[in-house]
Amino acid sequence: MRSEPHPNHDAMVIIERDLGDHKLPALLALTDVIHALARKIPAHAIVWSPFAASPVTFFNERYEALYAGGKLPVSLWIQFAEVPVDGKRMILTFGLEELGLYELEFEVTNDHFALQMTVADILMSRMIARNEIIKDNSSDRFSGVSHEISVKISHRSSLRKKWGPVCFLDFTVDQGGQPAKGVH
Amino acid sequence: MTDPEAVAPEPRRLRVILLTDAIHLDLAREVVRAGDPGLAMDFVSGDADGASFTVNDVPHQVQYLARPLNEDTLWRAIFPNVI
Repeated sequence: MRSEPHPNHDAMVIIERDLGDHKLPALLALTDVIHALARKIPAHAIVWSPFAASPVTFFNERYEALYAGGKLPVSLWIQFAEVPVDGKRMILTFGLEELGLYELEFEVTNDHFALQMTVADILMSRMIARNEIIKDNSSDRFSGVSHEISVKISHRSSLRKKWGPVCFLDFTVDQGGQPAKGVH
Repeated sequence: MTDPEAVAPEPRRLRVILLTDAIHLDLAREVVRAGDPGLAMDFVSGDADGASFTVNDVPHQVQYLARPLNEDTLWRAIFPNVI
């Protein structure tokens, strides 16, 4: 997860552009611009307004992963927050609504946290790339290193106050062909 | 698996903020004014407070502000929990 960006700045350079009809090309183009500017202008951190703040080193790591491995730098654009709700670890995303999409909300478990976050990352990337919200009452299945994970997606009211509908992810992790207990 | 029928929120303008130091603002102005041929980034116009430039003919705007980001805004960017 990202670390705290340097707060001890005393100036800002704010760059803006329209999102346009094609979200992914616009996000990638602006990411290229920010990378180019941050190579020449000393900066402490980069805020993808209003929610995702990254130290420049984190930004550069994600940028290099984009061009070295083709992994979309979603974590530069979208922020994850973990909140406890009724004793559960709930993850909420912030930033997708800014792009005209639904945010994600889902419960994570200690045993499968990394796999669940990876699936959420894939689903976010898919929504951004296709420029469409994941369909209500749909499902998908993914393979991890040692587990299979299924996810059902439904449109629900957000846990957040004064927020529109979100895509709620309901995970089921299979271990050795058997659904694991207590991971829904 | 995506849903073109879902009522999407209104998308907002993309806005990215470099948190820097005031001593670097003149450099920022020079960098933007110089453009970047590798990115097809071309300076259009500007003054001490801001500028316009294009990237592949797409308009961009930049502002140079000699003040820090509002603390609440920065905090929300780091810890956005709003439940």
